[in-house]
Amino acid sequence: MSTKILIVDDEAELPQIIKDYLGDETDFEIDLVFSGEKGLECINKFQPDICIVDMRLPRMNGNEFILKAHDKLPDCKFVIHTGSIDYFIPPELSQIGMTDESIVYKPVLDLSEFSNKIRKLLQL
Amino acid sequence: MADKKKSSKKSIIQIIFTVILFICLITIALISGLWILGDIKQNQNQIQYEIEQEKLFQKRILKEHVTEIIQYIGYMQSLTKERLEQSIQQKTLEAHAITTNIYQQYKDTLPREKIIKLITDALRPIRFNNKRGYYFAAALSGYVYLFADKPELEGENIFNMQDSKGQFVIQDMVRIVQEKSQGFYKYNWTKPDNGGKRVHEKIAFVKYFAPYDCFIGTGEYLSDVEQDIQNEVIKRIEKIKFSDNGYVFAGTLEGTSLSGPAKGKDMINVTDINGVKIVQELIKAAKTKGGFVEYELPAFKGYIQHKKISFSMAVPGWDWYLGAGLNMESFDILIKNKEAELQKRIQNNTIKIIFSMAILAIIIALLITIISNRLRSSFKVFDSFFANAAIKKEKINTDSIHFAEFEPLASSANKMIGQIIDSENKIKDNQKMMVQSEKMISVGGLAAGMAHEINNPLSIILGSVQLVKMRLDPKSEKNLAHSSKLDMDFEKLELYLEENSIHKYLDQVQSACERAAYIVKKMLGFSRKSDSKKSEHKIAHIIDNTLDIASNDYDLKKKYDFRSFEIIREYEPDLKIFCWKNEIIQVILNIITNSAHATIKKDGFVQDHPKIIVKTRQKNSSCIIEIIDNGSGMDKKTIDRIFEPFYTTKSPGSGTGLGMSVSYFIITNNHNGTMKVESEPGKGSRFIIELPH
Repeated sequence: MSTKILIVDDEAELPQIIKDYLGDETDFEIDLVFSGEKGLECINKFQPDICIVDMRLPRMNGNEFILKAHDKLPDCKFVIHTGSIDYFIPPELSQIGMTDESIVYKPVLDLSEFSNKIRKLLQL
Repeated sequence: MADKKKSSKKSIIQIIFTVILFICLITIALISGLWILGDIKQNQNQIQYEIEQEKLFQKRILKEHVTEIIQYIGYMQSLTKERLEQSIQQKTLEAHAITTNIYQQYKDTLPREKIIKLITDALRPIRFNNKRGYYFAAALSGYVYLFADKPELEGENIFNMQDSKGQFVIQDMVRIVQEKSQGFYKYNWTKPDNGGKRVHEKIAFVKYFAPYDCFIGTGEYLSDVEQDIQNEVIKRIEKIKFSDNGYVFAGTLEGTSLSGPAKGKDMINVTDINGVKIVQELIKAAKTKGGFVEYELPAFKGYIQHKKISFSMAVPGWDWYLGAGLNMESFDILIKNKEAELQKRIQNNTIKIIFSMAILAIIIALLITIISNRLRSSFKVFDSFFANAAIKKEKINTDSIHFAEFEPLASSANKMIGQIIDSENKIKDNQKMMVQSEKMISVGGLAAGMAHEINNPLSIILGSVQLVKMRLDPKSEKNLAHSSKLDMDFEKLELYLEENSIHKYLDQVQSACERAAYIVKKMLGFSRKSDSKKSEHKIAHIIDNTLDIASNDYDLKKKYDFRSFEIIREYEPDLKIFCWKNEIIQVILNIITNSAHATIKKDGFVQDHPKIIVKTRQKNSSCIIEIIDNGSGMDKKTIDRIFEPFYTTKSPGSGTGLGMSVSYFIITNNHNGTMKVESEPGKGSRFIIELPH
């Protein structure tokens, strides 16, 4: 069973690039949604191993999504993709075991950072 | 409508000087008054004294005249007696000679009786001394041969005859001739022409005529001679005039006037208008060794009534008083003159006094005006100072203040202004810093927002380029598989890309984006938000840490070899601050890098002894970090802009121009500290960071 990645990002280009990269470089199964709500919808159906979440989402923000997604799928890991250089893991996310290791700051100079982070998180 | 009330309060200066002026004027008036009064009194006394002196002088003159005449009378009296004695002696000697002559002629021819008859007949008619003088002859027995005045006594014996005082006149005479042959004899006798009623002092000279044992003599009444002298004296004194209106007068002690218009009249009861019994007073004064009498002389025979003063004195030997009188009218005139003189003198003195006092008053008023003007101007200086203090901040020129009391006030005021200026400068500096800080914050906000927005497109570009490069990689199995699937010669594509520098362009896009990403990352330093808390650190550790980083940092090493720098550490030990350690490290690193850049090549030449001093010290509740270099320094323009974002003196591409501004932001915004730089071109720079504990 291959590793499943869910990308939650409201933008068009960047998640597609990430998806393409991971598609090219790995054999992960990748799905892409453009909002937190959509992400929650497909989380039970898709059962991702890892969610790459943009923190700045319309309506439901990344934080909220992660908490809700974690409720639904406690084994799912998260990679936080943020444009804020001063972003730190907030306490509620620390409680579910998240660390600074999960953060990928924009701009990503090398897309391999994503695959490396995923492998590290899933201890592949 | 606002009430316009004019202040009813009075000016201190006005009150003080009005009071002073008032007091001065009163004092001057008092002094003048007293002075004038004293002067009047003194002058009056002087005049009084002069009048008294004049009076005394006049009195002395009067007295002198009187005593002089009395002396004259005394002299005349003594002279008279002498003359009288001489005259009677001579007459007697003449009679004796006649007698002797007749006797000698007839002694042998005629009998004694005849001869006696001849002699007595010869002598009997002889009269002398105003017919008062006559001869007498008597025998030593008392028989009278001749008695021209009383012929009835001839032939009588008057040996026992006594004078009015009981003197045995003949016996006394007999004794004189018996003893001394001739001599004078004094006795009292009745006067021949006055009915023999009054007894008068008489002097006789008798001479013994031996042949008939008798004596011949003649006598003279002294009073008769006195009368002559008195007449002479009267004549004389009537002629005497002295001191304009002074004259001499005489009268008997019974009151009969002997001289002047009332000559011969009994004046004993003459009384003046004031009831003074003039003559009685004169007599009274005369009887008491002489004295002065003042009276009003009644109008009399061409004289008008006038005030008189007289000196009256008794004439010794005579029943007379002798007086000298002065018309006091002239004296009154003198007094009046003196009084007029006094009046004039007082007037002159008063004018002088008033004049000098007026000058004094004017001087005082002038002085008061000058002082009050000076006071007023001093007050005005303060007035305008306080009125303009808030606007102009001009200090008081202490030369324009005339009084010592105002100097501390002026220096306090100047001190105040100095402090205001200092405070304002401080405020200005603070404002400048605040503006700087605001600028930084707004730049920070802008940068953060911009960075966010730029990061997404940058991510897309970078990601896309990476994907493009991946998908053009000729070594990729996937690519080769895909191309062969499309029946495409991948090697040719690669050749094409290579020949057309597509890879190069893609690399350029990638590196440009990487640089942009770097700048953005730097810019995001402005907007760090952190949940992590500040912690306490030793400054010494932070600085040592930073210097380690600087000397080991590969990128820095490439540019500056910190080992060639002399780095002096002057730390105050155990100084601690609350901070974000990494941020402070970043700041110090930025400054040291900056200093190294400015110091290694000073003014374009390699510096012999590049030096960086790092000092820390405590100041009140703050901690100061100073980083001093001996580099090329900065001009004022650079100092003013050094903390501005993107301001750089380095060549384009070699610096972002963000290091200093981010450092400034970290210190002022994140740590509530201050950061400033002092520098002089050619001498080096000094960065001063002040951080609160």
